[in-house]
Amino acid sequence: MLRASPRYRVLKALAAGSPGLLAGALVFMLAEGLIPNLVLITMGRTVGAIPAAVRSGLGSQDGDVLLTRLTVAGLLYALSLLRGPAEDVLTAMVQAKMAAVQQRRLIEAVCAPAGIAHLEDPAVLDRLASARGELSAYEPAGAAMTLIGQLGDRLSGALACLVLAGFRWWLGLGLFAMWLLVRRPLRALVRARIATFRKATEPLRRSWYYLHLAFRPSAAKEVRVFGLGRWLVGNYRDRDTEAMRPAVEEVRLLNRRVALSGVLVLAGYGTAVATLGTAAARHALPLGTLVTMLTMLPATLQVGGLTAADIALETMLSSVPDLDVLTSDLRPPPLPSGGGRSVTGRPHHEIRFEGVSFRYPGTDHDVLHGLDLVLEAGRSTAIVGVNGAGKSTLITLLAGLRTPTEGRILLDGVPLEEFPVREWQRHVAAVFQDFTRLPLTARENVTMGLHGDRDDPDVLEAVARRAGAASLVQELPDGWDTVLSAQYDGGRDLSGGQWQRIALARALYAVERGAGVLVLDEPTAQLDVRAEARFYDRFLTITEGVTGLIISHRFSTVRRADRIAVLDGGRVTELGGHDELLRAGGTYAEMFSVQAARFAPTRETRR
Amino acid sequence: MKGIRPITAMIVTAWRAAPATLLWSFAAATLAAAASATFPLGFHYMVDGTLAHRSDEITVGVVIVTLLFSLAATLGTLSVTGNWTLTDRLNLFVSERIALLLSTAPRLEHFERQDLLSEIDQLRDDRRALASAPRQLLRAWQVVIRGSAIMVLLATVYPPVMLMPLFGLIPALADRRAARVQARTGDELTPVRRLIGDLFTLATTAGTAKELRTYGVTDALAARHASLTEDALRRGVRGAIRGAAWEALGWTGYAAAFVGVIIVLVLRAAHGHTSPGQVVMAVSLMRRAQSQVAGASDTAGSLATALRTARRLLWLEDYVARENRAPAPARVPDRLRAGIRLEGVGFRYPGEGEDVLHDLTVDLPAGATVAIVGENGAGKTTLAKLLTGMYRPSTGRILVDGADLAAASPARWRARTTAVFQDFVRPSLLAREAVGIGDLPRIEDEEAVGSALAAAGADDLVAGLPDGLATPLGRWFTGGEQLSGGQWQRIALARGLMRSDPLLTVLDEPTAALDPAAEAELFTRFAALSRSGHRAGGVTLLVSHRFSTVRTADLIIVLEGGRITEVGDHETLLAREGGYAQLFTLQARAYETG
Repeated sequence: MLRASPRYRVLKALAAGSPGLLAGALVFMLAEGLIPNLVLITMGRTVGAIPAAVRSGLGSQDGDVLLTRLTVAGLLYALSLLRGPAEDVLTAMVQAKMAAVQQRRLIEAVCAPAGIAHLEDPAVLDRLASARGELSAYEPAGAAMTLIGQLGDRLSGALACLVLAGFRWWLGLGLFAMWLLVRRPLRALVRARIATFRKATEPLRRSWYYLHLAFRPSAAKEVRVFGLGRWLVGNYRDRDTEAMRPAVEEVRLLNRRVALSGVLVLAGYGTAVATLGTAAARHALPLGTLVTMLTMLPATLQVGGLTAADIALETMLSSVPDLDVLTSDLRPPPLPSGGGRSVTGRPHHEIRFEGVSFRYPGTDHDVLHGLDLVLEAGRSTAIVGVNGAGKSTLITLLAGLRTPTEGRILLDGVPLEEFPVREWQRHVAAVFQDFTRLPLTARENVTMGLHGDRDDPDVLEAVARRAGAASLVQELPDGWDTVLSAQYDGGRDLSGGQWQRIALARALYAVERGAGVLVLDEPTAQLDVRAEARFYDRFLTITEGVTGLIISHRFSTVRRADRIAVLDGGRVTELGGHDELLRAGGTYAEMFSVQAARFAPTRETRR
Repeated sequence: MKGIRPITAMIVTAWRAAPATLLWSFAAATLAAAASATFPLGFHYMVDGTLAHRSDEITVGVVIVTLLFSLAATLGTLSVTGNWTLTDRLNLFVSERIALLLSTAPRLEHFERQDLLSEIDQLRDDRRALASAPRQLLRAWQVVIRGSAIMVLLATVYPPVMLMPLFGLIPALADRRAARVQARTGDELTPVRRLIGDLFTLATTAGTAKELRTYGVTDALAARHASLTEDALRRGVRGAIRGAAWEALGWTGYAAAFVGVIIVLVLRAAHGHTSPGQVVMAVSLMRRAQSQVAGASDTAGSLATALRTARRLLWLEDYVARENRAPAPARVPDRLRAGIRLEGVGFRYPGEGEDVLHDLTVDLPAGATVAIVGENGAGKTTLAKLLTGMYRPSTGRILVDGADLAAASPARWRARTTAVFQDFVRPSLLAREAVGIGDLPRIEDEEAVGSALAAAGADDLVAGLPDGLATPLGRWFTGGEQLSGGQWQRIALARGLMRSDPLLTVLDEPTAALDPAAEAELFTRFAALSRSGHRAGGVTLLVSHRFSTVRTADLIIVLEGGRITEVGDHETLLAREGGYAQLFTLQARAYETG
C-alpha cells in the first residue's frame, strides 16, 4: 500500500536522485516540526518566570531564571527565522534536481522503443503531457519539497497536539481528531476535482491545440492571411470552459463543506479554550503552562488546515504515476540477441519486401497491401506513385521504425527482425520529407554528433560539397559553428532549400560512416532549379556503392535510378528502368509524357 | 509611477475575468486577516484575568479566542478555494488575451525578431504567474490589514513597540534584492532552457524521433539534454544560494531587532510596567507580524514575476496597438482596375545588416498570373510576405490601384487576399474545418468547401476519408486520419482557394509535394479557373521552381540576389536567352527522351 502511494514514490525518487538532498530535506522537515513548538514552549516558560522575577527583582535568582529562559527563547526564535532562506535554497535544489531526473526518465522512456508508433498514440502523448505538468499550473518536480513542507507542518501540528495532551490527554487527542475530521472530506474533494481535471484531458488538449495555433510562429502567416485569431481564441475559450464545467461544481461543493467544518472547529476550539480558561480560573495551572497551552492552540491548525500548498501538492502527485506507467509500458521486450548477426556491409545481395501490408492503428484501411519489392544491393531504386500511395510509410518499414502488419522484410534472405534493430536503423541513412531541423550548429546538424563527438573535418567538407551545402556553410557568420535557428543568439535561419542540402549532407555523412542503405524522400522538393540540376548531375556519385531508395516526383531524379517502381493502391504495379518503362507505355510513361509536354518548345497549351 | 500601471492592469484584468469571485475573495481575505491578527487579544485577557483572579475577563478572553480563531481558520480555507477558482478563470482570461494579441498583431515582426520573440516566450511561459497575481495581491492586502491590526494592539502594550513591524523592512528589502538576483539568473538561463525544451520536443515528437533513430543518436540526445539540464541546474542553484544569502542576512537583522524588543518588554514586565498578559499578546502579535513579513516575501518572488509578466503584457498591448494604428485607414478597393505596383521596394529584416530586396519596380497587372522564379534565398518568399502585408517595405511603396498599401488596414487588405505558403499548417481539425478556415464566414458551408476541394483536386481525397468532410485529420488527437505530405498540401491548396474573388492570391511553391500528374492536372484547372473567375481583377502570384508551371504565367519575374533581372512572358524571356532561358533548358533536360 505504502509502496504504491505517490508520496512514497516521490521521496524514493528524490533518494535515488540525490540521497544528500533527501537527508537535507528530512532535517528541514524535522526542524520545521520542532522549532516553532520549541519557541512557543520557551516563550511560555519565559512569561511564566515573570511574576517571580517581579517579586524578587532582576538581580535575584528568579531574575536569572527569567533572563536565561529569555535568551534560549530568543536564540531559538532567531533560528526559526532562517527557515525561509533555507527552504528557498532547498526548494531550488530539490526542484531542479527532480525536474532533471524526471525529464531524463521521460526521454529515456520514449526513446526506449525502437519504433515510433508510440509517439503517435494520443494516450501516450497525454501521459507525457501530464508527466511534464503541462496539464496543470504546477510542475510535478515541485512535489518533493512541497511534500516535505507539508509533512513538516503536519509534524508541527501533531507535536502541538501532543503538548496539549500533556495538559489534558483528551484535549490533545480531541483536537487532533477534530482536525483530521475536518481535513478528510476536504482532501477527498480536492482529489475529486483533480481527477475531474485529469478526465478532461482530451477536451482540454483540444482547447490547447487552438491556443497553440494562435501562439506559435509556425502558423502565424496563415493565421494572418485568413484572419483566424479571434476564431482560434474563441474556440479555445469555449472548449476550455466546457471541459472545466464539472470542476466548477466541485468547488462549490467544497466551499459548502468548508463552511460546515467551520462549525466543528468552533465547537472543538471552544471546548479547548474554555477548558483552559476554567483551569486558569481555578488556579489549577501555572502561568507558564497556561501561556504555552494557549499559544499551542492555533499551532494545531497545521494538522488539518487546507492550504494552497495542499492543492498544489495533490495536483503534482496526481501526475506521479504517469511517469512510471510510461516507463513500464514503453519498456521494449528483451531484444533478440540477433544470433550475433551483424548488419555491417549488408545487404550483400538484396532487401526483399514479401507480401508486406501496413495499416495505421485505429484506421480501417491498409496503406500498403501485399507489397512485393526487391532492392538490389549496391543499386538505386526509385519509387513513384500518386500522393498517399504509401511511399513514406514504406521507408519507415524499411528503417525498422514500424513493423509490417502482415508479410515480412528479408535482409539477404533473413527476416529483418532477426538483426539487432538499433544497429539496422543506424545502417539506414535517411533524408525524410519532414527532416529534422536541429536548433544546433551546422556541424552538429550534419554529423549528428549531439554530444561532443569528434568529427572528421575532411569528410565533413566532402559531404557538404556533394550535397551542395559547402558554399552555404561558408557564408554563415561562424561557418560550421553557426547555430541554425534565429531563435538563438548568433543563430541564423535557413531557407527550405538550404535546409534540404544540410539534411542531404547529414545522410551522406552517415554513409561515409558506414551506413549501407541510403533513403531519400523527396530530396529536391525545395531545391531551386540550379541546385536541382546539380543534384541530379551528382546523383550517381551520391548513390555510388550504397543500396539506394529514392522517392521523388521529379523525373529528373527518378530517371537516374537503376530501377523504378510504380506504387499504386499499396502495391508495386510497374518495375523497370526508365527507358524500359517508357517503352512499356504504362502509368509511368503517361506520367512522364504529361510532364514532358509542358517543357515542349512551343506553347500548344495556350493556343 | 511606472510601477502602478501593471498593478492596476492586474486588478482590472481580474475584475474583468471574474468580478463575483474577486469580490468574494477580497471580502473573505479581509475578514480572515482581521480575525487572525486580533485573536491574541484574547490571550491578553485570559492571562491577566488569571493573574488578577477575574473570571469575567477570562470569559471574555475565551470568547474572543474561540470566535476569532474559528472565523480565521474557516475563512482562510475558503479563500484558498476561492483563489483556486479565481486563478483558473484568470488563467483562461490571460491566455486568451495573449493569444489574441499575438494572433491579431497585423505583422510578423514580433515572431521573427529575436529580442521580441524572447519577450513573448517569457510572457507565454509566465502567464500562470500573471494568473496568480490577484492571489498575491490579496495576500499583500492581508499583510496590510494584519499589519495595521497588529500595530494598533501593540500600541496598547507599549507604543515604541509599534516600531517593531517596521523592522520587517530589513528582510523585505533583502528579499527584493534576492528576487533581483534570481531574476537575473532566470534571464541568463533563458536560452539554455529553451534549448532544453527544444531537445525534449525533438525526442518526443514522432517526426523527429524517426531520424534520431536512423542516426542512432537517441542516447546522445538524452545525454546532451541531461548535461544541459545539469548545467542549468548548477547555475540556477548558484543563483538561488546567492539570493538566499541575502534573505538570511535580512532575517538575521530582523531577529536581532525582535529579540531586542522582547528583552525590553520582559524587562519592563519584570519592573511591573507591563503585565505578563500583554507580553504574551505582544510576542504572539510580533510573531504574527513576522509570519506576515515572511509570507509576503515568500510571495514577493511570485509577485515580482507576476509584475514582470504584467509589464510584458502591457508592452505587448502597446506594441500591438501601435502596430494597428493607422491614421485613417485607406479603403481597399472592391476590384482591381490597374493592378498592384511595386515602386522602388526594398526590404531588410529588422536587426539584419543586409537588404533582402533591392529597389524592385514592377507592375502586376489586374487579372494577371505572375510567376516569380529565382534561386533559394533570392527573396521570393519575402516578396510574398510584403504583398500580404506581413511586413512593410523598408523603402519604396506597394501601390494597390495607385493607393499605398501601407495606409490600408492590414486586416482589411488581407480579407481580400489568400495564400498557400510553402510551410503550410497541417491543422488537426475536421477535414471541413481544415479547408473552411480559409474563409471563416463559410466554414460551415459544405458546398463552398466542396468546390474549393474540387478546385484543389482534393475531392477524391476527402471522399476516401472514413467520414468524409467530418473526418478529424492529423495525429494530434485520437482517431485523427494521418495524411501524406502531398495530401496535406492539397488540403492547404483547397484552403487557399476558399475565398471567392480575392484581389491577391499568393501561391508559394504550392505543388512541391505533389506528383507531376497531379500538378499538371491542377494547373490546367487552376489556369481555367483564374481566367474565368477573376471578376474582381485579382492578381495571382505564383512562386515556383517548376518551369512547367511557370511558363503558363502571363508575366514572369526573375529575381536574383533580391533584384529583378528579367521580366516578361515565357516566349519573350526564352527569346532573350538570359538567365530564365538557361534555367528553363536546365530543367527541360530531365524530359529529353533517350
